[in-house]
Amino acid sequence: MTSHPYRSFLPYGVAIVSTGIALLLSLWIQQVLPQTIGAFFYIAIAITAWFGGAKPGISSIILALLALDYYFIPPLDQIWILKLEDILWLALFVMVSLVITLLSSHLRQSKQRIEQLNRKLIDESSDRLRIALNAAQMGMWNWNIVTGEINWSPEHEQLFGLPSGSFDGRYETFSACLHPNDQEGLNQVLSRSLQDRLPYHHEFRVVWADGSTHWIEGRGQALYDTEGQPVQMSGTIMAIDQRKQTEVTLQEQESLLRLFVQYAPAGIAMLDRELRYVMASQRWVDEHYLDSVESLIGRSHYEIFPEVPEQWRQIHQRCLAGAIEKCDDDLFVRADGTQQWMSWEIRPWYTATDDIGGIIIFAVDVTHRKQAEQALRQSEARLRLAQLASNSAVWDWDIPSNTLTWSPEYYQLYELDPSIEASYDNWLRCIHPDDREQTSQQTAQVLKDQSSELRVEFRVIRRDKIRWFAGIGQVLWAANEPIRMIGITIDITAQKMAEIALQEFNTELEQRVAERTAELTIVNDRLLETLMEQQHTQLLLFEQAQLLDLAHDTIMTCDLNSVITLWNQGAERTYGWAKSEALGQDSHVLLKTQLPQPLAEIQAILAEQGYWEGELVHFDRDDRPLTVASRWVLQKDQMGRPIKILEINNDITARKQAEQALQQYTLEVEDLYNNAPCGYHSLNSEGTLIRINDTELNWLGYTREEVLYKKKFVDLMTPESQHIFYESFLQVKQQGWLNDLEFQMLNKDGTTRWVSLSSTTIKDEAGNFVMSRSTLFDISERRKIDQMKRDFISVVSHELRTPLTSIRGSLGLVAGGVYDQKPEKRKEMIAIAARQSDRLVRLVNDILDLRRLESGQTRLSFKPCSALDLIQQSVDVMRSQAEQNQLTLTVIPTDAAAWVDADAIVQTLTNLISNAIKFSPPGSTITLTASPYLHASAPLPGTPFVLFSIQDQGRGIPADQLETIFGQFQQVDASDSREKGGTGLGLAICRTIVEHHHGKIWVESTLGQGSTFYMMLPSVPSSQISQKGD
Amino acid sequence: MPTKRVLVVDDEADIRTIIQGCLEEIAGWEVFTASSGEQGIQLAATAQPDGILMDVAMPGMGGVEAFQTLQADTRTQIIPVALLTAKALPEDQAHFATLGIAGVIIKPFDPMTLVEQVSMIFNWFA
Repeated sequence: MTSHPYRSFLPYGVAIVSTGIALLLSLWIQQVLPQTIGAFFYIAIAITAWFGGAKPGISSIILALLALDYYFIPPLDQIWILKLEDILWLALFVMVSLVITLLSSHLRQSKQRIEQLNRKLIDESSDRLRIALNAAQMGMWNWNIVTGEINWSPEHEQLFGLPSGSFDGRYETFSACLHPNDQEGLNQVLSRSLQDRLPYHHEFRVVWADGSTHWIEGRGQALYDTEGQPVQMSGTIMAIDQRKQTEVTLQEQESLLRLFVQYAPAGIAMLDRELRYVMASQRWVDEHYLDSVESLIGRSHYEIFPEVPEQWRQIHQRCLAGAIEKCDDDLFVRADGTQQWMSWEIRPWYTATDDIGGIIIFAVDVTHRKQAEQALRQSEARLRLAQLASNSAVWDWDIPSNTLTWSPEYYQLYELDPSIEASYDNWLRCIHPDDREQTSQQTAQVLKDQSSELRVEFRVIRRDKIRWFAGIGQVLWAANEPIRMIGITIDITAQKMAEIALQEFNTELEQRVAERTAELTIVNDRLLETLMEQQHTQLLLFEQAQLLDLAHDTIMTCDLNSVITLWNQGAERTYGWAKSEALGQDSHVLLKTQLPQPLAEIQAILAEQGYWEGELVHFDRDDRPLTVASRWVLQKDQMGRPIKILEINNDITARKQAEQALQQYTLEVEDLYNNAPCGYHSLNSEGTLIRINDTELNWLGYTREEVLYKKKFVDLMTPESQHIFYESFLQVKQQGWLNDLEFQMLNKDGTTRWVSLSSTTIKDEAGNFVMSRSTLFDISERRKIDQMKRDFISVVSHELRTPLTSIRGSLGLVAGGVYDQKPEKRKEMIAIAARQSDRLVRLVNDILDLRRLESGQTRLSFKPCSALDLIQQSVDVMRSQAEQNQLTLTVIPTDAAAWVDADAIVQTLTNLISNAIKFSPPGSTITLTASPYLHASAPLPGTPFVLFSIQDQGRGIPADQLETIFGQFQQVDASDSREKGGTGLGLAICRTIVEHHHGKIWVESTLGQGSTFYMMLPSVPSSQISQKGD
Repeated sequence: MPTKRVLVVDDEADIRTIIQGCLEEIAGWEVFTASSGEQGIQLAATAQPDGILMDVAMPGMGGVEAFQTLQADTRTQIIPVALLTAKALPEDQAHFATLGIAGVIIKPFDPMTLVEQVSMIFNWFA
C-alpha cells in the first residue's frame, strides 16, 4: 500500500526533474548554440514518456511549454506571448512533443507486454516440465563425481519414497534405498557405463521406508573432462511398476490363453510355419483321438496325420501365404464310416512383427447341429438349411485402463472400419439397440462376480442385416479386482436362426402338445382306468393261471394243426380223456368236433380278429354228445406270427337242453296263444292293436301286418258295437277289468261276428295305463243257439196255439149255444175239437220225445235185431193208412241184422213210412229194404253197418232242403203239417234216434220222381239174430 | 148295426170254419174265406169286403206279405186288415205295430167275443 502512491507519482517526478534538467541545459547551452532550444526538452519529454507513459509525458510537455514561454520567448520572463510566430513555434513544439510522447508511451507498453509474455512462457515451461516429470513418474538427478555430491529433483525423492528435500546428497544414502539384490547389479552397470563411456540404462528395485518394493528404470550419461575423466553424471529415473506388472500379467495371460485355447469348445490347432504344433485345444486332441495336448507340441501335423490329403496340404500352404480358408459344414467320413460334419477355418497367425508365424486351424464339430438341421428339414419344411458362418474374433480388454484390443478378425466380424478405435463404447454401439442394455448389464455383472464368466448373445446390425454374435469372455482378477477380460466373439447367427426356428417349432409343437395334452389327459384317464383294470385283471390272471389247471372250464391249447398241447383237469372231467391220452392228439378227431361253420371260415376270423366264439358239439370218451360254448383265441409270438390256439370250452349241454325246453315251452305257449279257440289281443293306451293271436286274425281275415300298430280295435267293429265298446273301454281303463262284453266285430270281407270280450289292464308302477289284454270268445254259435231257442219257443208257441185255437173256438161255440139249433154243426165242432186235441197230444208227445232224446233221458236198449223184422213191424203199423191213400208198401226181404233199440227204430221207420205216405201220389209204391253196408263214410270205419232205405215216388224234395227237413218244425211246405197232420218234428226225432245209434240218416231225391230216405245203423253178424230168435 | 162283409184268410180249415161260424151265426155278417194269401188277395179285390181277418203264418205268401200287397193295390188299400196270429211274444207284437194294420187278434180267441173284437178293431160301432 505504501509503494503505490510512490509508484504513481514517480513518473511525474521524473517529468519535473527531466524537464528541469532540460531547462538548465537549454539555458546553459543557449549561449553557445541558440538554435537547439527545445532539443533538450524533446529528450526530457521522451524520457518522461518512456518512463511514465503518456500522462507524465503530457505533464512534461506542459512544463516544457511554460519554461520555453518564460525563459526563451521574448519578452523574457513574461508569460505573455505577443508574436504569432512564437505561438506557431510553440504549437509546432507541442505537436512534435505529443508525437514523441505517443511513440515513447507505445514503445514502453510494447516492451512491458513482451516482458510479461516472456515471464508467462517461462512459468508455463517450468510447470509443464514439472507436470511431465510428475506424470511420467520421472525424477532427475545429477552426480558430481569429483565431489561425490548428488542432487535429486523432488520427483526423484518421491520415487525413492523419501520426503521432499530430505535427501542428503550422499551416494550411500542412495545405495541404502536399493533392493539388496539389485545393489551389486546397479554398481556394475554404473561402472561399466563410466568405463565404456556408454549411456547408462538399468532397471532396479528400491525399497521404500514402508517396506514396499518398486521398480525403477534409471538412465544416465556421464560428462568427461579433457583428460577423459568422468566429472559429472546426469540422468533420470522412471517408475516402471506398472510395466513390470503388465509383463507379469502378460505371462499369466499367455498361460491362461494357452489354457483357454486348450479348453476352448472347438478344435483349435496352432501350427508354426513348418506346421509344427504350437498349441492345440483339448477338443482337438479329443476329436482326433490323440494322447494329450503336451504330446503334440513341437510335432509336425503331417507326422501325426500322415494321411492328410494333398488338397489339405495345399490349403495349409495357401494359408501360410496369408489366405484365410474356411468351410461352415464339411462332411468328413472317418475311417470307421461315421460321418462327421465339421465347421473349420484355417487362417494365418502373425508374429509381433506382422510376419506370418504359422496357421491356426479352428474346427467345430457341427454334426449335432447338422443333424438337428436335417431333422428340422425333414420334420418341418419351413426350416431351411441355414448356412452357418462360424467366424470368431479375439478381444482383450484391459479393465483398469479401459483399453480394448481387437483382433483383425474382430473388425472383419463386425465389418468395422479399421480406423475405428477399439473401445467398450464402440463395441456397445455395434450392438443392436434392443440388446445393448442387457449385454451391458451382463458384462457389468461378470465384472462384479468372480465366479462367473462372460457369456452374452446379442445382435449386430451389419449392412442392414442382423447377425447374432456370442461373446465369451473370462475375467482375470488381481486382488479381487477385475483387471482384464479376454474373450472371443463368435458369429452364431446360423445357430441362432436355427435356434429361433427350433424355438418357433417348439412353440408350435408345445401348442400342439398342449392341445393334445388335453385330449391325452382324457385318454390318459381312460387308459389309467384301463390300466388299473388290466393290472387287476393281470393279478386275477396270475391267480387264475395257478388255478388254470384246476379250472372247471375246459382249457386247452392246440397248435396250428389242431394238435393238443395243453389239456387241463377241466378238460379231463368234461371229456373223460386223461391228459396223457389227449396230448398230441388232433383235437377235432379226438372230440369229433362238429363246427357251426367250416373250419376255414373260423380260421379266417381268427386271423382277422384274433378270436372266435361259437357253439360246438363235442363227443366225450363215452361218445355222448356235449354242446359247448367255445372261445378260441389266437396266440402270436413276438413277431406277430400265429403259433397256437387257446380254446376254452364251457359245457352248456344242460343249458342248451333247458334252452330247448324253454324254447319248446315258448313255442307251446305261443302256439297256445295263437291257436287258442279264442281271440287274444293287446291294446296300447290309444286302443291300437299291439299284439293279436292267429285265431282272432283268422276271424277278422286280416294279416298281422295289416293291423298291428295300424288299426284301432274299434275300427274292427260294426258302428253300433263301436258305441258300446267306447263306453266300456273307459270302464276298463278306470276299474282295470271288464267281463263278457258282447258286441259284433266287422271282418275284412264285411261279414260280422259276435264276440264276448273280457279285458284286464296292465299299469305301470305309477298307476298309468300301459296296455290292455283281452280275450274274445266267438259267441256266434251260442247266439245262433239262443236264436234257435227263441225261434223254437216261438214256433212251439205257435204250433201249440194253432190246435188250441181250433179246440177253444169249436168248444166255445158249442158251449155258447150258438149251434144249439144246428146239431150237425154242433157235431162238427166237437169233431174239430177231438181232432185238434189228438194233434195237440201228438205234438206234445213229439216234443217230449225229442227233448228226452236230446237230453239223453231216453235209455236205448241195444239188441241184435233182424232188419226185416223191424221193417215188417213198421209196415204193419202203417199198412192201413197206406191203403187209405191207395198206396202199396213193398218190403224187399233181407237177412241183415242191426244192433239197435227195436222200439226206437220201429218208431223211426214208421215215421219215415208215414212221411212217404203223406207225399206219395195215390197208386204209387213205397219200397222198403235193408242191406249190410260197408262204406268209407261210415261213422266208425271198419265196423259193419246196415243200411235201411225207404223209397217213394212222391213229388221229390228241392236240393236246398235236403238237409233242413231234418230240423225241427222244418217242412218243405209249412202247410204240409196242417194238411198231413204232421207235427213238424218227425224227421228231427228220426235223426236224433239215428244219431243215438251212432248212425246216419239222409235223403236223396229227384224232383217229380221221388225220394229215398237212407238210414245207416250198426250191424251185427246175423248169427246173433238166430240165437235171439231162439 | 148294418151287415158287414168280412174276408177270412187262414190255411187251417178248422179255424176258417170256426170263425165263419162265429161271424155268421152271432153277428149275421157275410163271410168269405180263403186258404192262402194269394187266394185272399184275389178275393179281396173282387169281393171288396168291409174288412179282412188275415192269418199271419201261412205257407207260401204269409199274412204280412199279403197285407202289404193289398196296400199296394188301389182297389184294396182302403180295406182294413186285422191279423190273426198265434205269435203272442212281445217282439212279434212290436213288429206288427209298425205295419199299419188295423189290429191284431191273438189265437186262441174267445169265439163268443170275436165279433166285438173285430167291431172294435174296425171301429164298426159308430
